[in-house]
Amino acid sequence: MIRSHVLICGGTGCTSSGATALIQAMEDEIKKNGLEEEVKVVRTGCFGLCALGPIMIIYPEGSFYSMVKNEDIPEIVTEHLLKGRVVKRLLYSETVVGDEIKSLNETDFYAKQKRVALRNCGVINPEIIDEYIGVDGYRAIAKCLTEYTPEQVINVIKESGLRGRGGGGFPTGLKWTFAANNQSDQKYVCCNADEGDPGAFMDRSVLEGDPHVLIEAMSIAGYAIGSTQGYVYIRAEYPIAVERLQKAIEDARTYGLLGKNIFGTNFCFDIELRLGAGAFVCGEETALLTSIEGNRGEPRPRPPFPAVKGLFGKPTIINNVETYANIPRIILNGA
Amino acid sequence: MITLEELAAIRDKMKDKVAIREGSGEIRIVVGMATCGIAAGARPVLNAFIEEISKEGLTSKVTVTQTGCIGICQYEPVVEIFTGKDEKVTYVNMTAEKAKEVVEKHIKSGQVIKNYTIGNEK
Repeated sequence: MIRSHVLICGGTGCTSSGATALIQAMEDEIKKNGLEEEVKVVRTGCFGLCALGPIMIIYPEGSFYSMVKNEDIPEIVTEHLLKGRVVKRLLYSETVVGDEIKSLNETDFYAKQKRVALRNCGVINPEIIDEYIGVDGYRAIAKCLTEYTPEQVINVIKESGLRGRGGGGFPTGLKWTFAANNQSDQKYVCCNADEGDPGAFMDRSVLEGDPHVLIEAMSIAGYAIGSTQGYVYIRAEYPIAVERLQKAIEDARTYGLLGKNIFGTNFCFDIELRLGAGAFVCGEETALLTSIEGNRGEPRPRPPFPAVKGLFGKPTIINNVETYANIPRIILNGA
Repeated sequence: MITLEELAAIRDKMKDKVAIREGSGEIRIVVGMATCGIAAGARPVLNAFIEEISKEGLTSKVTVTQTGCIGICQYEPVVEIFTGKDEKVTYVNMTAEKAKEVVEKHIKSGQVIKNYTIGNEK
């Protein structure tokens, strides 16, 4: 039985401050102390406090260690993991008040947060599909396919009031309605993961920390508008995100969560990645679609809007990563 | 292709494993693992609890953890069991065999084994 989980952030921030070597050192030290049957090391996505990286959270205690160095590992293993004594000097200072240790959710940084889109980031291992399934993953698409008609899915999204999180704020349900109402032999579901604003890392956090949520949400969108093919346009400057999303897509295909006749229904859906070469303008939706088509990424005039004439001239919806990340939760919890 | 039932099966299997990251379970078994405890044989006791809890499928309900010295080194290995907010039972001079018995009687059926508790131990 695993009695303790050591979560180490493997996001871009913590990776650049040395998390990869830290994970290795932790695994070696655990082995050295013969604890490998009891303690599990999990590489997670971003937890949000990048400035204090590398970050490590040890459960069941929920001890939050910040700025951990390789030299600290033997102490953490022998003191905390073996003897059960939390290494106070390494705790995030805000969690220590006098002799008491506060839980992470009570600190100023997290107390006012209710994480929805990022709920799994820093909690699950993004490279293991079973962990995502363990936190209700792919239950929303299952619910859509077995309990809802496409119109009902769109209605739930409409009623929720969800609006585009890329900045435009266009009502997502309305966008889906337009695409659903247009008849065509093929329609497309696109994801704008060309996050280009300097210092904006919200989409990257989702992609790196919870890639399956995007796959699930895009499948739901595909079912809602009647599409069988999705494209994620992601910037090549996000190598970790690209790698994890690619792995997630392959794992989903292996489980048949992407591909033909998902859950034995008539619904078929698959997703492909397209890497952006770093043109800022390709974050604009029509330029992005032009780029996916293989042409120079230049915007084209609207109307016609993508919902009428989008990718390859077919009805297309294009949403931002964070918008998608909210969809499975809305389906499961209701509008 | 995965079916709905298989998805549910994976979810149930994984839920227990991920549950630990939501904090402590309803019942906490705390084994004293300071120098005195380790010297008196706390490691096998901790391992026995871990094995039994996992074998009985109680991992989402029960947290097994360790603590430092609580100051009664002569009674080590000491095990404390927290079942409610203010309920605590302290077992002393524990062994792996006694640990199995505690899981069977105390954890599973709520019967405290008085003979092993502090002050009553024979």
